Amino acid sequence: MKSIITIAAALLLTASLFAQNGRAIYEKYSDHEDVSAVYISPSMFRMMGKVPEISTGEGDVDISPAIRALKGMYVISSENASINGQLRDDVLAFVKAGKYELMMEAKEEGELVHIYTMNEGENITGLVILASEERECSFICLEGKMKMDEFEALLGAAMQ
Amino acid sequence: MKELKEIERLGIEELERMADDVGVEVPAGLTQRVRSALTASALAGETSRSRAWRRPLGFSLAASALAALTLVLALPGRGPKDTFDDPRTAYAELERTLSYISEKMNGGTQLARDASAVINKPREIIDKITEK
Repeated sequence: MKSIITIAAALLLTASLFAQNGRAIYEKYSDHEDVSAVYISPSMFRMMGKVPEISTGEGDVDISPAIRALKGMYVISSENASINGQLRDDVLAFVKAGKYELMMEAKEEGELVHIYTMNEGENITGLVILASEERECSFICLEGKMKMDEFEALLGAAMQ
Repeated sequence: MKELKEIERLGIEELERMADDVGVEVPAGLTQRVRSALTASALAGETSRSRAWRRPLGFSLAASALAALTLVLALPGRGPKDTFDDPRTAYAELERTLSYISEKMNGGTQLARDASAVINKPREIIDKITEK
């Protein structure tokens, strides 16, 4: 009996560990009312990296390797007050359970922004942004292994 | 009546002779009691054997369920459907998101710069006073 309970606990633990990731959060909240959701898959990133005008970008830096390195992007933007608290708690549990480190926390004009990154040496392997306001809560999760300067190049290309 | 130790010491021939001796009175219901004891012993053996194979089977089933759950949840191919079909549209959304990330990062950096200016102000005042 004890062993069955132990195995059942292991099953639940496995399920809960898998539940704490960007995909699980996306799947949990993407179908709710007043929620806009965006998911970009690894294969779409690979396709993006092959489109000529995207590969070369507007500047001199080739951002296609960085784009192809991305493994997934999950965006949830909720204006549904009944789920915002839960979404925030789930994201905080997710970053706590993973190897994410708080990179920046800023509070401005009623908006609290947390930026977390997961690093492997000089590489960045994940980035999570949680922005919460009184009526809105946004969650962004970018997954993929790339060098910090590649990531900065991506950000720079987006700002152009 | 002979005791068990005495019976154990007897040889086969002597035991056969005693068994053939019709003069020895057999206790009433002995045959029935022996049969019941043998049946109970057989059933007990059966139950312990069935428990013995049930336990590893339970472990195997639980381990299989755990492996299946892990496999199903960790399969790289599974996932939500792409929001966009066209890579150009997807890139436009990526650009918008990266721009948002950049804006938030810059906002935080600007706040830190502003705070740094405020923190440095008393030091500047002290420096000016000490210069005079």
